[in-house]
Amino acid sequence: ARLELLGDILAEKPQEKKAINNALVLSGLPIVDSARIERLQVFIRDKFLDKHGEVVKFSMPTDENGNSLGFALCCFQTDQQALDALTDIQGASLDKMHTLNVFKFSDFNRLADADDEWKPPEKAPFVDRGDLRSWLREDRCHDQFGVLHTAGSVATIYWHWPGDPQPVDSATRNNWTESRLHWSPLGTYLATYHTKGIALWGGEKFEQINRFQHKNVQIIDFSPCERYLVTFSPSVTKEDPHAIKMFEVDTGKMKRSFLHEQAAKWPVFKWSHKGEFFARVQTGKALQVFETPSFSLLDKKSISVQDVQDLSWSPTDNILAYWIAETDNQPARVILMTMPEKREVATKMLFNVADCRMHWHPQGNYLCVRVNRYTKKKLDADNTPKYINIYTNFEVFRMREKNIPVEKIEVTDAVSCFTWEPHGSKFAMVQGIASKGLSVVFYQVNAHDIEKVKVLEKRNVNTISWSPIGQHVVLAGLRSANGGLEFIDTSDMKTTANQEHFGATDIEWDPTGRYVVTTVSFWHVKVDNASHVYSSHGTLLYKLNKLERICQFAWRPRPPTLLSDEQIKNIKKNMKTYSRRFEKEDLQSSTRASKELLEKRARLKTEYEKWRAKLLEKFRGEKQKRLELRGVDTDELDSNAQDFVEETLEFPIKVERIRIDKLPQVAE
Amino acid sequence: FAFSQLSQLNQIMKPICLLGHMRSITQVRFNRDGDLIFTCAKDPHPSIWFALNGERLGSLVGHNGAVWCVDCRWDSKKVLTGSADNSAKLWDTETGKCVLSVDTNSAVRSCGFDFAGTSAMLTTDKTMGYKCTILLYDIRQDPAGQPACQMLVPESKITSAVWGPLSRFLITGHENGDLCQMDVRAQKVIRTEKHHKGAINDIRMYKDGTMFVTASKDHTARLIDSYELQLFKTYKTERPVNSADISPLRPHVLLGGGQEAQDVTTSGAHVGKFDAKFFHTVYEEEFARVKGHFGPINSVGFTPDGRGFVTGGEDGFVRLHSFDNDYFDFEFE
Repeated sequence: ARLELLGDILAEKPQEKKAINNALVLSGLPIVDSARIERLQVFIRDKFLDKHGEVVKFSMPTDENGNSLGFALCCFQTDQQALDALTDIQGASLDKMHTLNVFKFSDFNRLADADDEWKPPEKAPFVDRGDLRSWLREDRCHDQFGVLHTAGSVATIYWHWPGDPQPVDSATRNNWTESRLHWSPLGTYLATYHTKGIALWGGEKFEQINRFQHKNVQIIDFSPCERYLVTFSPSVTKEDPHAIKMFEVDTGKMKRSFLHEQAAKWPVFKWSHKGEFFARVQTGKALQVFETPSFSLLDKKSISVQDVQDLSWSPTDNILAYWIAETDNQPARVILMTMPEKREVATKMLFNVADCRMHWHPQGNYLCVRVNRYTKKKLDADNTPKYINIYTNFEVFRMREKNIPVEKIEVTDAVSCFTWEPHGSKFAMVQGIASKGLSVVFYQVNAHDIEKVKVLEKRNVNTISWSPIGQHVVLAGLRSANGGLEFIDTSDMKTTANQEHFGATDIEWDPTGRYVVTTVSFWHVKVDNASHVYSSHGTLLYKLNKLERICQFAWRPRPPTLLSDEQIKNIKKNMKTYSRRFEKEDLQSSTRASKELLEKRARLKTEYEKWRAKLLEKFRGEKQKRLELRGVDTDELDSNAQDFVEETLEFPIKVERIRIDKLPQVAE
Repeated sequence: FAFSQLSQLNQIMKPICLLGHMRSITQVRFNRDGDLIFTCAKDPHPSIWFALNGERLGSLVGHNGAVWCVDCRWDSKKVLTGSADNSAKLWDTETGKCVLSVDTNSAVRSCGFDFAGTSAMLTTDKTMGYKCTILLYDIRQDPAGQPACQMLVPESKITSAVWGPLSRFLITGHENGDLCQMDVRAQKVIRTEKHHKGAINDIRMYKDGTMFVTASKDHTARLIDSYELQLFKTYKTERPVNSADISPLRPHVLLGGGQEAQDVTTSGAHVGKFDAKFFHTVYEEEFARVKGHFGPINSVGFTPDGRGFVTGGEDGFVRLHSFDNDYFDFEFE
């Protein structure tokens, strides 16, 4: 009897756990003296640990004087709690000088057991990706575009040879993407969506460059420099609760991931122009500006801004613009701040503001803040503000002038589709309501004022699409409107063409500003799916309608030009000489047709030569008769050269009249 | 489709304008050597010009009505003309003197020396009482108005006619688009083919006589072989083709045409928008246009060495062009 009892008791004997997965080591803590240790412990448990679960054990070792050593140990009740805590607090900053570095206790053992001998890591085999920019070196500088067709099951990349686009070799693939095609901002990569994540393709043959795992990825964003890829997926799990992930494109490594709590517009994280910073707003509370390549907060902390609503980067400078909502005792404000210095370079107070939207000029020359103002404000039953009589103001910040002066424009009508002219100083918008007739209004930002240059009335327009090089613009009525396209040259505000692509759902300029493509996408309309290609002046050049059920047409972007302004000026000056050469080449290449045409011509030529050969045979057979009939050989023009008579003709080339009495005197 | 390069030919190569006729040009012809140009128009005086500089050699005086056709003998010594005054005349090229004249029952539409230069063929129009007729004359002596032989064409009248290879037969184009080989001496139609849907306005032989090009009211020109009248190529335009010729030097075909005279509106008058069209012989593709005429082009011809071409229009102008180097370098791929 005693032996059986012993077995049960023995089973209850506490066992030493072999793996300690519920314990964490927190290092990077400040070193404090014995007086403040208690406070530090409370602080750490409060701020970082208690919210993740029950801390069963916490210990902060000290030296012989009672000072902390800079690290602490803690045990959670469950392994999962420890894991949650690790993910959340790793890299968190305590203050300017201290950042938490957290790792699992089990890792600690592993590190302690590590070999004393350092073994160099295995060299990863060099994968030669080839020339990722090969498409830019095409003979005639033609662009590429990608088409997703056959209801999305086939994607093809084409060379845009005007009038006769040709698919790129081995770039027609079935099920290349599961939702859409996405080009990287400088055109180097093609991103495709898959259940498992994103794949990037590039190089001459569009080989796979890298894969980025993110289950059920829904939408992505690239940093402007193409070094980083941000992905979002709504499928979060307990093990992987981060909806937003950031990857380094070259290595494929995930650099950081984020929880996504608030509803927000994509992209949640906005990039600075060189990819040095990315930022997001914590609505009402703070700006979080992160820096690369560390992917941690700039200066290790957020920028606390009460009532901040939204932010936007300048496309060409490290200037962050953000706006603060108005409160009972403070007006709304728009603030421009440089990064990383965090210096305010411009502030504008705005009164009676219901909402703001920021529109940067593509070359960063201006920032236009569209302010919805109200005349009266009421508070609803649940204290949400209700605005009456909304009118719109546009505050234009002149970024390139000293002290960034701001100018205001008022518009009483409802406003939509605000767009800046790239490389120019105009902007356009649609004003009015559909029932009364919409107008498109153009403004010009001059040195001392902003003038309204043109109002185009009664235009059923819902999209204003500027050429990427400026000057030309297309006013389009897409989707529910009837597909009307008005091409305007804004240098003289004349309409160069009026076209119609019935049912068009999308419009896109090519990166050089030479062509405009309108598409009727299968995703919106099930019939007549085609893309129409127009010149910048609105001439319909050709239709891409042989592909079935086109879903998406996407031009491949180009990196910005490497030419200096001076060089561009010189080229424009000598345009005539270049034009002559290019027109010659154009003629040759327009007759340099597709393979089929060349084959057809070769066939025709051989047939013709055969036919001629037979006729020539007959001709030669009759030579004798010809000699008899004429008495001389006249088969060729010079066959009877002996009959030629040589004649010299004189023509005066120049006639000069000289008065004899005015002849110079000859010196004796 | 770009033909910008060659259509600049107008600016690069200035044509020599021969202003010698008050009325629309009906035909322009070169002699075999290419140093003389013969032009006839709806006025009664055909002219002879030096092709080198456009200087006029002289005009042939004697006809009383529009001169429909002209031909120069292979040795350039004699000229043949056919007129609406119901006569055909043989002239001495050097002096311009009329050496023979024959009267016909109706207007003479086409005329031509045979290969040897010893016979002349004429075709006459169908008018009241008289059927369309082909007449052959021996011109070694005065025929005193008697044709060596003649042949009636009962149905569709002849609108254009040339001698076949070795002058064994005539190749005739008819108002209804028919193309026939006529052996006048044997009085029979050797062969008929219907390649065109409209009247054949002009037939021009290739330099070796083995093939020819037809220009038709049905807006096309066609390349056909002389021996079997087999259609080989078709060149399509949007307007009636009045005249066509084959380059002796390059695989090019030249077409001239335009609207009917009464359809021409005055809007384009100062622009000179009627153009001569160049097609590639084998690929049937148009690659260039040369503007300049103020009215439809009635007659075209390449210079015998292929280095230029001449066009005569409804506007009464004859334009002589020389090709520049780009023309000779231009290649289709």
